[in-house]
Amino acid sequence: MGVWLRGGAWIGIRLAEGGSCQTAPAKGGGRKPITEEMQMNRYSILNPTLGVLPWNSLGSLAGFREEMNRLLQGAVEGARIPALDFYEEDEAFVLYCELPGMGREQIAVSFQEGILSISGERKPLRNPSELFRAERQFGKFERRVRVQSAVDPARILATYVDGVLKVVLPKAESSKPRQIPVSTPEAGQV
Amino acid sequence: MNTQILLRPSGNFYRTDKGYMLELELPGVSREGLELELGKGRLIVRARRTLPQNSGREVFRETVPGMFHREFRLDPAIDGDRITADLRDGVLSVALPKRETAQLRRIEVG
Repeated sequence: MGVWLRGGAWIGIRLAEGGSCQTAPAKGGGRKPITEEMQMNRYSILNPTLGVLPWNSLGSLAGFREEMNRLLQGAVEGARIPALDFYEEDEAFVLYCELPGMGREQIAVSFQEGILSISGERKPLRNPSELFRAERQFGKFERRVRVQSAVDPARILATYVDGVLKVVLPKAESSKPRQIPVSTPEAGQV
Repeated sequence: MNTQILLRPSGNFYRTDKGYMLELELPGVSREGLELELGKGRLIVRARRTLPQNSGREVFRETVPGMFHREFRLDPAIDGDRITADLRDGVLSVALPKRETAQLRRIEVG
């Protein structure tokens, strides 16, 4: 026995003796009976109405610093926000947004006048009436980031892998760092 | 990568006619980074994100680098041999079926 991978998306989990899957030691060749109980009764549904919590959406923006402040406030209030990481490289800006469980077509990425906008709606895949403990959040979300330097909108690329949206915004030529040579002035020049 | 920070992934728990279903959010995790263990009545999920290689300057960061880790104590009615899991788009769905109750046998009276 062991952990086996089936072709396709399913991973089969089986009890194994040693190997990569740890189990309770078998006695007499049989599997040790599971005696602990799932602590269902102690869990309470976080939202009594449906068990789904909407994200707070951060609509307006004024720059990175204000975005950060809003995020920190959101964190203190307990609101979950799709997490963003934003990097600047020489050639491009790169943004990562954690959006597990979305379909590619459910995420809208748009760029206008220096503002990158990521929005969408996450819908539960399963019937919420079967839910007895909810921690995941669903609903509409929108994040906006102001990109300080000029980018080339035609070359913006967005990909969605393993639940992370990655947006690459190549800088416009004028935004790239440029080396300026230092020369000694000619006679007569300033 | 900082492996000392442990992150508790959010999960939704469902009751189905066959048993239970668990959905865990593991953004950025691919199959290679996922470990599932079953034993002593617990399901243990450990996962490591594939972090992007960035040569750039970090402007802001909201994600926390670390390993996902969560343990679940299982209802004894769950049949450990038939637990299956699917990892798709950063969401791990684990189906935890209960043991099928013994079928009633028809006894023919001769």
